[in-house]
Amino acid sequence: MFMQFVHSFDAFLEPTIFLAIAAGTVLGLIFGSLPGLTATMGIALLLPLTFSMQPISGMGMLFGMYCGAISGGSIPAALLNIPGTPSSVATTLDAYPMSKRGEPGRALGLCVVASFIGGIISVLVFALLSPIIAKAALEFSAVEYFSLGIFGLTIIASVSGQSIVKGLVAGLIGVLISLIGIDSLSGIVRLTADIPDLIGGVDFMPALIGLFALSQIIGDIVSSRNAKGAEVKIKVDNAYPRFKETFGLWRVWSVSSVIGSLVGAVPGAGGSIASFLAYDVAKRQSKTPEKFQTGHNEGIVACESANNGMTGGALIPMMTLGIPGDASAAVLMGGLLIHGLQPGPLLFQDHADIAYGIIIAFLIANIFMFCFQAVGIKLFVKVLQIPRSFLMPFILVMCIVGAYGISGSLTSAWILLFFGIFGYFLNRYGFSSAPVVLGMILGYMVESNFRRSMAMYDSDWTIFFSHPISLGFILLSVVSILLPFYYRYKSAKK
Amino acid sequence: MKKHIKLLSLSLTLAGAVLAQSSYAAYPEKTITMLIPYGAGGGTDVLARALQPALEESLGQTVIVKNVPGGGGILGFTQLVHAKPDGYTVTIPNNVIFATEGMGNATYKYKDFDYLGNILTEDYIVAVRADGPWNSWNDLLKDMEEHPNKIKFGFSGYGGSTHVASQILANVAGYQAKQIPHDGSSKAVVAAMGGHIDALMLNLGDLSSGIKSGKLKPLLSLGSKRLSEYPDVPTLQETGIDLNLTNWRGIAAPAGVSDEVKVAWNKALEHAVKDEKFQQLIATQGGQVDFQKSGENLDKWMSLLAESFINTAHNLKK
Repeated sequence: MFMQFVHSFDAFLEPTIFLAIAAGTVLGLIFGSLPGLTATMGIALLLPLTFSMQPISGMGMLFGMYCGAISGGSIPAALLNIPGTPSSVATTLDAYPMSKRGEPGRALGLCVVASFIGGIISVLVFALLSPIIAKAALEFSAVEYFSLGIFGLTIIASVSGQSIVKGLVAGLIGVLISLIGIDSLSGIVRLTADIPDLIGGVDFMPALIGLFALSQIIGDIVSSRNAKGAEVKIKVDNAYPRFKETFGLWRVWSVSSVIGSLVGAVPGAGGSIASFLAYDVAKRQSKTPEKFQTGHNEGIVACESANNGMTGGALIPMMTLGIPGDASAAVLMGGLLIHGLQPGPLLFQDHADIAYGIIIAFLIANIFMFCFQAVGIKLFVKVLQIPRSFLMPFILVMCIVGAYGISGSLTSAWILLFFGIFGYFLNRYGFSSAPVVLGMILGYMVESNFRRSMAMYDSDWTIFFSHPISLGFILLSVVSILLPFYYRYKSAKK
Repeated sequence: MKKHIKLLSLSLTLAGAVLAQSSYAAYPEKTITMLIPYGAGGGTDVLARALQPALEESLGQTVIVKNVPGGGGILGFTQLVHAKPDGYTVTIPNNVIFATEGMGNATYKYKDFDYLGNILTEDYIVAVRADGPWNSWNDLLKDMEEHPNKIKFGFSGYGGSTHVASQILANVAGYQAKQIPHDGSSKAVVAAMGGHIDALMLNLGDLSSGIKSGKLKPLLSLGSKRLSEYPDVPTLQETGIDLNLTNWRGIAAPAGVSDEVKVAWNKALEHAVKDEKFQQLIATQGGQVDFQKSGENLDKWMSLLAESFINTAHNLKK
């Protein structure tokens, strides 16, 4: 194996490989930072280009796009409170408050270093632990997905902001929204109000853009009418990668990166769940949990190392089992297939040089991602010096173009508008948008897997407690719900 | 610089004009959109992107691949039948259009499509988890007959083509199993590889990584011939049941396109499927290139498949 690994370096004597990876990474950063353009779309668009390339160059370019987009999503999340990709939703919770109080350079500096660490750890996990993790991922059946989803829903408590009740309400609305569309277990169409375009469910991306971006634009318009358009000059601090500060939080990034890699490896869980989970864990472990959601460095580092940690994780089931961990991995798998490479355990036997070459390309993509961002953050923070009255119309156009581009139908634009107004009222009445997103991601996952489990095990609900992994998640959920009460009890006693 | 761009665009227009002149007739004279009713990265999407270069070469126009995922394909196919039948909007359909029509969730009928050519066929395969006690289709069938509703039988999504196919099989072979729908074929494969379900019905391409890893065992093919890759797997016809079911992927347009369009696509597809790299891709996906021109034969085959899928889907709903 070691010799094969060494031989796979031969391919990298060709300088064009580096060019391809660099091009993919730059494009990825652009795709990630523009709301509405996602990693998956970027990879799909590059796919035909890789057709005529060598497998390692082609895959390297796609990997560059993948890492770049996931990491680039944090730029608008930190500066404008608009997640560039679904996996940077949790990043907005702390990165935006930090830049709002005049430290956008610090927020981005933390994001850049944390993304890099997460990416590198995920490459290591991928290279060293693939077989074990792939085996564990197979243990997940409908039963385990249900319990994982339930555990995920308890995170709502962590991201609710000031009021848990408001968080729960927002979360439930998210769950209800997730149930719209055709039900995959009975084929029955639910809650669509006879609008044919809703048969496939509510498109996640336009909803997300509406909740985070459009809602703010509406808020700006409303408040500018009241405030007579006074532009507030935002203070901008020095922008550079914050190595020392990030490395100091080693407990946060090490745990978060591993969480990211593990969650990424569970097919269908995805980057947004990974970063929310890491955020939750970081908050529980923190000595200063009350600082979260006010612009705390631990929150930023947790989310960003988790969502880039997810990238390597999602590749594990794809490369070793032939099962993509998320939508982006599915398109990456298409890239392998186009080169006549069948992902699966045999990939590492039959095409070892290419398989290891791809891992090295993935590592290089992460390094490039870091370099470009480290150079770029000085430029990114300049965005904040553009007056909001110029910036917001541009973002509005980007939102609409992005929403339309996702499905090519006007329905997405309507969804965008609806969620924009909905998000505006959420903000206005002190609800947080994050629980809505969690509900939308987890609602259908919980519901469909509950029913699938019931169909598999003759409606015997005790299986959720007799499967060990499932029992573990259920216990974690119970602890997660009861812990705050216990703390309150303890502090009341004092 | 500006001058160069002008020159470039001029020469491109000229080249386009020359290409259009030299081909059969005026069609196509503008960009063609290929609606893919699934997300990026699925089998159909990869197929479209692999065809793209060769089609552009032969048609002399840009071909855009546009993903319109949702509702197991319903959304994209609905958009297609509402498009103008001018040959500038096409899709890559499969048995799903028949299954969804039969389930009653779709508003289109299979006659709303003009079939411009078939590209490949994919056999439906029954596989089991490799650590199970079944070594042949007869073992599994016997088990299912002796213990009705014990075997957990997975497929892709409710009312999709693999669901209808496994129901057709259950009907003709006379067994009862727990039919477990999944959110997509890869979820069903994971469930079977992890031993959470016993058997599953999918197209060969979706199963190949599972079979090659040794965690899944193919037992039965519903195709008309044995698989070249797994020659020991019997076909359903060999077990004494006169039925064969295959999935297919081709090009279709909204009903009512002109003969000119059909001729252009016949030529373009014939050219595209000859490409060696393309054939290699189809082979790794577990399909067989099976080019068929548009015309009576293709239409007849389509209506045969449509009939059996629509009928079975109807019964599923009851």
